[in-house]
Amino acid sequence: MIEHGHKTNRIIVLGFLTIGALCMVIPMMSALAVALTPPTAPLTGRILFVPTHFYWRNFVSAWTELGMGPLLGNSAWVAMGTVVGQVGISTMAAFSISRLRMPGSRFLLYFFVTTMFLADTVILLPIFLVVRSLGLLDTLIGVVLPHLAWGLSVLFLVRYMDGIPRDFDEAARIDGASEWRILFRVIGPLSMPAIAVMMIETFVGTWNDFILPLVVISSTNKYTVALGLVELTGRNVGVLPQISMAATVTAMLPVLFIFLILQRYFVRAVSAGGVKA
Amino acid sequence: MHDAANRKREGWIFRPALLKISRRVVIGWVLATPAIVVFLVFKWYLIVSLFLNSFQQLGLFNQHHWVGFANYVALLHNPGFVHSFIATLIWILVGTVMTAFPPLLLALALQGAPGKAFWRAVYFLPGIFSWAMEGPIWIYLLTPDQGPIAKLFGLLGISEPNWLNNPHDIFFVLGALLLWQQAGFLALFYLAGLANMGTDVLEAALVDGASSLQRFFRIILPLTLPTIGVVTLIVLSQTFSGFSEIYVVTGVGVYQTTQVLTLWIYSNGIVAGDIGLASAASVLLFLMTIVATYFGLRNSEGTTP
Repeated sequence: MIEHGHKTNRIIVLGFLTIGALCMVIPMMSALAVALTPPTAPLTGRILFVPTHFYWRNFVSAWTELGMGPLLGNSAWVAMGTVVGQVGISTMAAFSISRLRMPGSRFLLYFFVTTMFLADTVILLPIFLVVRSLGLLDTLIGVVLPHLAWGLSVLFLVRYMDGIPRDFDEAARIDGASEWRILFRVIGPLSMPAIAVMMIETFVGTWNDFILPLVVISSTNKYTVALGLVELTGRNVGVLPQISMAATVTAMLPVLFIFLILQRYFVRAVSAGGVKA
Repeated sequence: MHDAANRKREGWIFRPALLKISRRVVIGWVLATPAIVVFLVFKWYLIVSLFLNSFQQLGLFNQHHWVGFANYVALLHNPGFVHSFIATLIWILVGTVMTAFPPLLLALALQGAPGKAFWRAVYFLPGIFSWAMEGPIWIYLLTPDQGPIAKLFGLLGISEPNWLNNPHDIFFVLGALLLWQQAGFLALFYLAGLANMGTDVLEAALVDGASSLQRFFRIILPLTLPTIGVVTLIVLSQTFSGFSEIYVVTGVGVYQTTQVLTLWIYSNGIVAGDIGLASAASVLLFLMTIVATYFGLRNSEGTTP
């Protein structure tokens, strides 16, 4: 808008954007390049930004040596459990606040939303103590439960549902539909775009989360992939960079996949979660 | 008879309506109950118990007893805590300055560029992954004798820098990495702010013959000030409560220098087991984030993308 007509300005802007974009992508490219280098080829003393070899067997080694299978499985379990549980209870609560409007429902919204500003790191110790007193330390459920309470999800869904005209529920009600039916057949399906955004946000957030598994999980066979990468490869000098980068790239793939397929929702989801640290 | 029929009909309408309303209320609370329970246990109870724990002497396994403000007094005399408090302030300052403002330039560039969607996707990319994945990559890239970036500096004639183990550079490195990760996301806020600004003012300035620099400093900067405020506060809250980036990137090297409050709380509370003392530190961290959030909320009207 500012550069209308000025050709040199345009070139400067494109140059700036290209250099910046290279900075964004080069670390990922580099990780891929290392992951595809055979363990016998030298890594040191060479500048490696783009793949020069295509030695896919490193991914197999990462899978077997570092146990990527169980790591990914645990993460998938935790992420799916959190998505279903958190979005489920948030949708029910949002429906009752936005549509049923029982007395005190606006207060209820504040009750949920004000907790958004509590970072996990601030309440880390009580999370640990509560999970411990529930007897859920070192279990995957202990990682899922604390993440079921996510105020943004309720707020986002209430705002979206408030935008759906009341005529829809009135029409259904006149036709004799129960409140449950209105939730599952009318408002639920109509809120699908917002629900999808929250599911993506929650899935990626949980997949990427590192601090809660760090505090709750102690046995290696229950590590999530994020915790596993840091504890098994980041600190461990014994693992070849080729193998550890292959593991890292593997862990990034599901998120990258979601990003490429659902980019429009994804950007909205991450910006909605802006307040989250 | 007519009246009676009317009354009867009214009653017939009235009573089920009342019944319906109360049914609605009951269903409403029933639907909200799972969320209420989860939020009570995993948010409200936690923050209350954090405050209560901070007034107790409490280890991982022993009995607790009340000690009043002793934990807070102990914090002031704890050199590790004082050090981490100062480290937090340095990190907040460096991280915020390095991360909050450059995305404005990015947004300005994105605004006029062809293929906006493509650029936005590329700049967004680092923000979608976890530090648990990106941290090890950067450690590899920046390790002397091995990493390509360290090597590149070596080629330029500068001795290969050992950034990750240098206490003087480490916060700048962490700030640069935070910018790398957050630039695309924060630029969205600036793009929204610039869109709200409208084009009339800029076009008027253009007609009056204002130069690009004049337009930037006299028009764009003052008018995007509210957005700058919001972005600053987002980054502030990230640096206040951030844990993963520092833990993953510096866990091995300069842990002592970069032991900010969140890391201090983790290592003293969960690793070393002094829950009471670490809770007092958490309460201080909580109060600081509340103050930042309060100012953030006050300024954030209508500036989200």
